[in-house]
Amino acid sequence: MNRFCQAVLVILIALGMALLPGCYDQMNLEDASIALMLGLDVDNNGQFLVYTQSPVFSREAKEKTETVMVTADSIRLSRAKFDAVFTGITTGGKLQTILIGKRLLQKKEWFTLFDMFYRVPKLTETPRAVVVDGSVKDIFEFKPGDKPRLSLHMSKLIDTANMSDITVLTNLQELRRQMKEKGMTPSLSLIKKGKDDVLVTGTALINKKNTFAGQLSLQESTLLLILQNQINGVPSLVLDFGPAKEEEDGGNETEATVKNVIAIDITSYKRKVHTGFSNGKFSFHVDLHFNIVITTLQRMDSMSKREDKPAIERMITSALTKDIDALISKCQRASVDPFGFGLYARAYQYKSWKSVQNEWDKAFAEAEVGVHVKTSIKSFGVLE
Amino acid sequence: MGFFRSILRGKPRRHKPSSSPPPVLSPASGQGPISKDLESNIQQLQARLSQSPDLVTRRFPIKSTGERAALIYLDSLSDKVAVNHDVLRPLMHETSADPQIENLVTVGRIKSETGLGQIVKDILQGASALFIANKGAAYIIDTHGWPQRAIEDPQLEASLKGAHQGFVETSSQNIALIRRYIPDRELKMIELEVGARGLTTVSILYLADVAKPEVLQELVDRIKQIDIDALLSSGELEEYIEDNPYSPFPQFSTTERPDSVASQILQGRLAIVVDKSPGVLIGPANFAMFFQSIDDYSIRWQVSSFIRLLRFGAFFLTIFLPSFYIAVISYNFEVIPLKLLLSVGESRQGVPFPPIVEALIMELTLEMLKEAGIRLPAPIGQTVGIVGAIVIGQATVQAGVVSNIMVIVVSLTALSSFIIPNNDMSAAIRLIRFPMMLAAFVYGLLGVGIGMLIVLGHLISLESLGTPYFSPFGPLRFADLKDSIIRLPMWKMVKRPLSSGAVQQRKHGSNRGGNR
Amino acid sequence: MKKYALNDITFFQYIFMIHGSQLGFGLLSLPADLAKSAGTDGWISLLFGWLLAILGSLITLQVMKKHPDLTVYDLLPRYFGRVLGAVMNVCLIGYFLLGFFIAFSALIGFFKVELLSNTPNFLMVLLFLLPTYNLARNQVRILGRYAEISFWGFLWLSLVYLYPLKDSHWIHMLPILKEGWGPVLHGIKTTGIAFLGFEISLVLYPFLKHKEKAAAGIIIGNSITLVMYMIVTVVSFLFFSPDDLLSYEFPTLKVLKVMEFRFLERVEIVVLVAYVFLSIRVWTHYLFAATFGISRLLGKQDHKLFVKLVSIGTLLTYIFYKPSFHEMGNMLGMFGHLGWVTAFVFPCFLLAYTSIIRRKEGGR
Repeated sequence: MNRFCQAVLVILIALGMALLPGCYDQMNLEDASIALMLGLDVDNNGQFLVYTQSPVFSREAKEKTETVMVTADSIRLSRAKFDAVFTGITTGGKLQTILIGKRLLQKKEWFTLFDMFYRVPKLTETPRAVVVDGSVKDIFEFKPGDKPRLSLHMSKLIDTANMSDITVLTNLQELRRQMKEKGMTPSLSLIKKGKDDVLVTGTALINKKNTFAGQLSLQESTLLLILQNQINGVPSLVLDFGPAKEEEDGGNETEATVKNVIAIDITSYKRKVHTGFSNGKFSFHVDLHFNIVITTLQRMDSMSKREDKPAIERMITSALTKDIDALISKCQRASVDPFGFGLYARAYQYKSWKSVQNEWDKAFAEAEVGVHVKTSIKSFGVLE
Repeated sequence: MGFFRSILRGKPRRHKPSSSPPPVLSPASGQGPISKDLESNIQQLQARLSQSPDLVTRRFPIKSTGERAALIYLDSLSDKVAVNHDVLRPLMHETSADPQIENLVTVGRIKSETGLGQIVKDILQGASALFIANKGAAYIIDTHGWPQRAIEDPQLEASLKGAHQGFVETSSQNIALIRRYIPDRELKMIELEVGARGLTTVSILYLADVAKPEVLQELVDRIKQIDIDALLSSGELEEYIEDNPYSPFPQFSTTERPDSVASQILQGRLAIVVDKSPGVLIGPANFAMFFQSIDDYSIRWQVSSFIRLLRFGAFFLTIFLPSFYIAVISYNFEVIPLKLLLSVGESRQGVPFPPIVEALIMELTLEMLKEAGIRLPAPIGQTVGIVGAIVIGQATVQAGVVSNIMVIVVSLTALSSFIIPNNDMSAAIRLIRFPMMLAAFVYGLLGVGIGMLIVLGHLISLESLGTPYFSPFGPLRFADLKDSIIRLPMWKMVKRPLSSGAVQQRKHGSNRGGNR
Repeated sequence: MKKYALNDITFFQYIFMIHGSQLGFGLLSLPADLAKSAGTDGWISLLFGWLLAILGSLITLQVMKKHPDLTVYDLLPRYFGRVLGAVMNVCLIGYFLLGFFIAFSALIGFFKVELLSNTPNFLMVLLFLLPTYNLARNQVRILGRYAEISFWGFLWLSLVYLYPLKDSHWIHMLPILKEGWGPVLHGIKTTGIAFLGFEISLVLYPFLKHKEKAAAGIIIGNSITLVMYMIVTVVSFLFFSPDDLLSYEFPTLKVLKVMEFRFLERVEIVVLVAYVFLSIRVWTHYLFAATFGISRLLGKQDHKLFVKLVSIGTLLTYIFYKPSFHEMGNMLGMFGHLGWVTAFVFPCFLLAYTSIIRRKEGGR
């Protein structure tokens, strides 16, 4: 009998638990307005702007997404304003992309706006952080007819761009790492609103003062990824060997439309960094060994012989070395280290690193970086 | 009359004074030995079995000795051919040099009985009583013959490759079916009688050199302690002897297949055959047993392992799929991938109910359909299927009462619960999913987790006849895992499972010869 | 003589019960705690903590070995007399109760913050008390079975931690011993609370079926714990920048936040729920040890009643007392110190005392 009473008691408690709480944390899917894309920007008056876009689940609604812009002092505060507009309660649990206006990056301490994402467990840390070259508003107002939901399209765009190694993929967690890490500076994907589309233009660099410090082109981004050792799959590079001259019918030389170009696929590569410290300067020697496949030899018919392999290898090597050297010195001039050389400094020259760790950007600008490239062509394709 | 207990086969029954029927009317309570006077015996007996028009009293002189005799039996319970040809005919017509009754009557089972109470009991079970003048004892001749069903294909546990004989309602037949599989002298039987009125014979079958004596003793003790009026089915017996009466999980396995019973006896378990019931109980049961079917052993072991995995997967799906759906829709939708979330959101739009109500409506509809399908006669049963298909499949979604996704969830739960081969287990887990849904509704995924934890804790602490119920998993027995979530080839299972508590571990040799 | 013969636990169950009592709140905050004092060399401190824990466990075993059929609750009155023994028993019970309460509260606080931040405390307590009661009211062998099955059943959690390795930076670990041995030794202190739990063998020992394997068991148990801690610590170190690691309270969980599969996103929520299954062992073991002690103290056969009373008491406490998350953290730290006293000093003292007594008796 005693056990029976217990069973009844347990059932009563269970029922009580079911009825009492009123479900404090409940949030039904239909009551939620799931923000998929967030935009942060500054207007001309220096007022902070927050954009958000969420899907609408309704047969009656014509538009499948709703977009709202509010001015606010923080992202969290903007939520209250969003709730005033949206049908549902705004949640950031499924955020896909965060667009950051280039103008916001000029403001100091912009990164503290992101504090919420790391502090509130319910929020996600996977959204891709993307810098917009231009106004964030343009992108949010963009309604492409031939694309899926803009927010899905954007995240897919960044992902595939990263897959083909033409830009970095920095999610919020990675952004924080790069921001807080003393030995490197952040790099973010950079996009731009074209006339009828949104396109990835490369990589945005941010310096130690957390402001915008320059941008890299698509090809430079690929080289950056190589130096970061963050390559996905098989990256392609197009090496340009100066403008070709050609004689037109009239006899005067003009720049040819079809240029002297070698296109290569890097099937695999090895990277090795040697770190040294002398005369108050860090020195890094990067050994890069590429295994490549030739995919195009444009205007180089004369060289497409097997015997020319060493010559072509030499050409490619020097072109790559030149490009990489240019990229590194460009970064050094801007006092940014998106490559993470500081990590090597810390790992291998800890004593010297300790004294400069808080101004690594300056130390890196002065550092000697030498690149030693080696290429071996594994294949010329299926043409003789 | 203080000694009447002693004639009840010498076994004291534990009658509660208040619940025991008045002694005069009860056939079980004896009235002392019969007298030598034939007529007074007949009168006493007829008084005891008054208002029974099927009671036949046949008076005749025995030809060989010339003594007056009377044969009394219940017309409805006796095999008339046996009574007429094997009892009455030799007694009335044949002369023999040997006047012994036992040698005259050509029936196998015959015994001498003096207690009137016992005689009445035997008559009520189909025996004939032969009274002879001036003798203080009656002969009880086994002439029973009651209406019974022919042996058929077991309907509840169909099998593709297994035998097609199922148990019937007569325990002697059932025992015969089992003995056919194990013609071993170590196959022993303990016969007990349960029920003061029903007098149901309960037989425990086991292999004496394999089954663990402690488990057997425990089972016998438990059956002996039962004090009830009548035992109508093995399911009732199960409720009286199980370890944890509050558990939703079956603690004995019920089967109507003799081959299943034989295989379990061979593993060292005990089979409980209850007379008048086609279901045979097997104990000590463990959790994995309910996911096995006899067909598993006659198909390729890879296929069978796959099916086992499917069943265990189905177990989890049945319990947790609806609650997971509720938890995810109303708490943790971050967990679902975005694309899926968007389609769920689109399908949920316009549904007027919160997820829990939506789920309850559909899950209860499913239960009703299932219940309706069981009880209805076959021709109408098909209609239920059509109604179900239309109601669940189309109309509710089109009317916007539930979402498409919910329909998928419900049909998946239904499907997976029907995969579980054992009906009791399948019913148990279908019941458990309702509290799970409530927990999911109140606490989201955490509630589902805690619910799972409670079920796990319960399963672990359950015992069947004092052996751990959740056996190959908790306590973990790696050797027993060979025949649980997967099934390895038969020749790999050299030992009997530890969970049955078998004292003789070795089952058979490796049978694969050499180091192949 | 064999008092607890019916309830014996197997070698594996013993291992997993030791391991299960250890793997609690420490798992979540350990990488950050280690990094705070020892930087990326924290994993070396962890090794030292493990050695210390094994040392403590072996001393405990030495004490228990002398009377293999007695729990510590039977032992103390035998050595110190009825009154003093009872007083010491009460202290021990108090320690285990405190352990239960703190582990329970800290983990509930954690689950509340992470999963159901708006649900009132006492409802969370109610929710967690149900499975706790369901488990702790049983005998040791059931707890052993649970410890065993939950270990094997949730071993996949450690595989989950391989996923963040794709974003790992092994270079974070270099240079090894960057600041010398000082910080490393300093870091050992923080591993205390993480390895605490092996003192449960004070109660478990007589239940073990094969006593000769006890030492091996306790070493394996501690080592499994070490491996688990090592995995999360190293993965956190590799994943987060050493400059950033300190800013996270639960790096163990944060590591999983970026995990996404095609069929499941936000894996950390699922991992959190799965972690309930592991962490429940810590407080149920403590609760069992305490209530078992009470039942021995009062000479009762069954400890179920006391589990019930303690559960109700906990619930009532939570209706009136609402600790903040940080208070919980402080209490946890305090318990860490107390724990080392119980797990180290107490067995040492017992060992010394018993050997002296033995010698005296031998002299007579």
